[in-house]
Amino acid sequence: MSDPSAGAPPDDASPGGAGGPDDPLLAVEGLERHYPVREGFLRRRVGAVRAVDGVDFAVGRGETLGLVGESGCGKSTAAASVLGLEEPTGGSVRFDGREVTDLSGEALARFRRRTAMVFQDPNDSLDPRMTVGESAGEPLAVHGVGRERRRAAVADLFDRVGLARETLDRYPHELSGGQKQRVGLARALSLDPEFVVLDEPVSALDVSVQAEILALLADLGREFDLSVLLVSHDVSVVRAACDRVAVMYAGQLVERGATEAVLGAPQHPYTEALAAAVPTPDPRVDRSGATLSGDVPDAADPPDGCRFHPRCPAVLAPDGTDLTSEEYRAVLDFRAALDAGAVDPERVRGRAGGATAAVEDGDASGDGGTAGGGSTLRGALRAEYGLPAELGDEAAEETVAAAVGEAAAGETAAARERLAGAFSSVCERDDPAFRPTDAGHPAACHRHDG
Amino acid sequence: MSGPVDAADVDGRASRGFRPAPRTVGAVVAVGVIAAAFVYQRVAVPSGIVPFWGWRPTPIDYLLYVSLVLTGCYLVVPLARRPRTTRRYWRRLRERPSAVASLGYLLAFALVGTFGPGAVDRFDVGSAEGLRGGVPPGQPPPGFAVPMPGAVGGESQTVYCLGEVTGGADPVCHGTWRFPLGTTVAGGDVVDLLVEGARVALEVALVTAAVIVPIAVAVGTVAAYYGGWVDELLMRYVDVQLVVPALFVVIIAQETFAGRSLLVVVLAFGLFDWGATARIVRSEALQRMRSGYVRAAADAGSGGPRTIRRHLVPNVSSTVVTAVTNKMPTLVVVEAGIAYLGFSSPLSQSWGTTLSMGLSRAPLYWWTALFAGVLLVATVGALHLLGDALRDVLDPRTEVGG
Repeated sequence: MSDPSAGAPPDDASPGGAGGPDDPLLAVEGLERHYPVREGFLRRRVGAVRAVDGVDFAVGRGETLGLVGESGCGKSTAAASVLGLEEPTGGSVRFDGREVTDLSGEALARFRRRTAMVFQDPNDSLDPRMTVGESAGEPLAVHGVGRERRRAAVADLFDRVGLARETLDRYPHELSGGQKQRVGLARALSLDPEFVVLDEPVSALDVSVQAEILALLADLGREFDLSVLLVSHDVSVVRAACDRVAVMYAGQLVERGATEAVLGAPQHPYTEALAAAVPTPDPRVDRSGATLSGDVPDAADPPDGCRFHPRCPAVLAPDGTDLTSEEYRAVLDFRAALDAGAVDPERVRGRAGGATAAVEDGDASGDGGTAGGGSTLRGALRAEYGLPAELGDEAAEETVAAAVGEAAAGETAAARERLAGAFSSVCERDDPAFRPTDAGHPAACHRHDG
Repeated sequence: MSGPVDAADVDGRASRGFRPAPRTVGAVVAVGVIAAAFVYQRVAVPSGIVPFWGWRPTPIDYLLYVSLVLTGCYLVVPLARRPRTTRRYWRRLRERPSAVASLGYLLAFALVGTFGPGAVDRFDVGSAEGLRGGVPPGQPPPGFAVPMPGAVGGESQTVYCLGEVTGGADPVCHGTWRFPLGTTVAGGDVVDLLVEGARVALEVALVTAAVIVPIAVAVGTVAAYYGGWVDELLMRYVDVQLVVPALFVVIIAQETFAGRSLLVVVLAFGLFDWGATARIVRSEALQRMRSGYVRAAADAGSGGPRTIRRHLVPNVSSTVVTAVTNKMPTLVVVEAGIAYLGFSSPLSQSWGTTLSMGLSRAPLYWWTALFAGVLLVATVGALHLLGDALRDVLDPRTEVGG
């Protein structure tokens, strides 16, 4: 499937545009899937889980696009919405020039014939009460192909996906995971589709089987001349199988472009972290500072500004300060801990107590009225949250020192207020738009603003 | 090389119509024959003439035959068509000797209930042929004896003794093999009554199940598949129905317009007692709705009726079998209770009727109540044991793992 010589057309870098090929088979613009959150006796709508929140991408003819992101980022929902298995709440999905949500009757049946999906868990995607032959032939049955023709077609498909014909009359529990996924592939290919969505096609399989299935996918993609949307959390799968890649975080895309460009020279800190999480045999690759902590944010209450800023290792410091990214990251972590009520001076004191000698009392700006023990605690608090002994910016240092002092005294509410009032960087305020980058493909990160 | 099926084949879509499975055709034909016989008996046969060579089924008997046909077509045929699966179930069932014993007992019970009444007539069991004055009342089983009038403290009504009379001034009547379980005070053979009771219990269990299962499966799967207001409407109706116990419906219907008959009991329970089963089916079907194969069917373009028929119904079948097997003992006990309290038709010889008759004269004619009670307990116990075992044997979760 990955065929660099086919040469995917270069990404158009216009912000907000679909990006990708000129005459795409599938064009997704501003796709949204919000689930209402209802509460109370009247089931009033009190909010929405924004599983997919404004996503643009396109899949060219014969091309494989990878949609990659952590679990829970909305990529599977996006894929299901593309095929109309989930009703999108906003945006447009155009397949071969026609709006998918408008299709009905014969046109919808035609769309179903031209598209197919391979599901993540082969154990659950085959009906345990049907033989796998019946399951693989189901799309044919739905579209009115008679029993004998169906059986012959499925037998032929089984040859192509590498299953013995005797397998036809077996039940799913009699097959291995890899065999079941081959049945799933046969089912997806039974109507000779043009476009296939692969939802985590190998993540439920053993690693040894994964490679086999990926190779089979590549062969079949060529043989059936497929356009593919591959959804995966696994960067190495995407690297192996995709021409282009779109990186998704918390319901939004953060970066897209040719696979080599995006994974080779990531322009978004999230992509950087994802790419770095894959073991590379190349020792020259710099992997420092690329580890991610925390989870994908709650889709019912995503953070303001850039959704990645609470975890971003490269978060921009507020304008007009001399703070470095690392320093501001530490300040934000401290603030997040305060907000979450996770700052517990007693615990830090207990832990620091045994190591008092080791904690260097370099806190010169501590107010003189506090006992020596207080300044030790402040030092321990700063160490706990990675705050350097002295920040690079004077005004900032003053605020942070005061906040640490308040936190040490147990006045976390006051510390929160002080920090919230003092700092705000663009990452916390504005949702970044897609912008062209030096690497040639667009990314949605404030580092590329202006 | 293009795909295995050309688009032209698929575009025809001519053959998309509903094509029933052979077993459905068989069921429809068999039920049609039974219905035709019923109509013939009701309409064409002049009153006073016995149709079908001396065999005169009642309406409830016709329903029993329909239920047996449906059980055969939708339980036995699928099991026979999937021998490997059936063997797997059997292997798992065999690990539970009590469940195997229950199954054996229930098969015997079903055979006796179906063919017993006819066989009893044919082989003249308990008949009064060659006896002056009909079946003698109050005869004990062989090996036991009962005092006759004139004995000390004798309130007995055993005035005529078929067997040996001993004791001189205090005469005691001994039982004979002519009536192996004795006879009742009213002059009925206990064997005969027990066989008739088995027929009643089988009719209650099977006919009611045959009404409950289709309704509960249809309501449960439709509610789960369509969700939204359809689900809301159906489930709220179930809530309302659960407020009115079917037993009340039986008593009110019988005492106002319908008259006392087993048919009323069976229909009332069939039509008003499926709510809990429908709820179980719905929750099971909701789980299936989230499974990949239902999504795959939707992706292939399969609509509601097809997905429900091909995926949801087969996959809730284990749950339905278990739920209904666990419901049957309650039905049998409730019917026996109705009969015991005297709310049943005087024509139907339920075990409850026999029990009531025996207990009213206990302990003198103990055999009347004892054997009916034993059979009632054995039937209910066997259904419970089998139902519990089936829950494990048919557990769909073990199905996936193999």
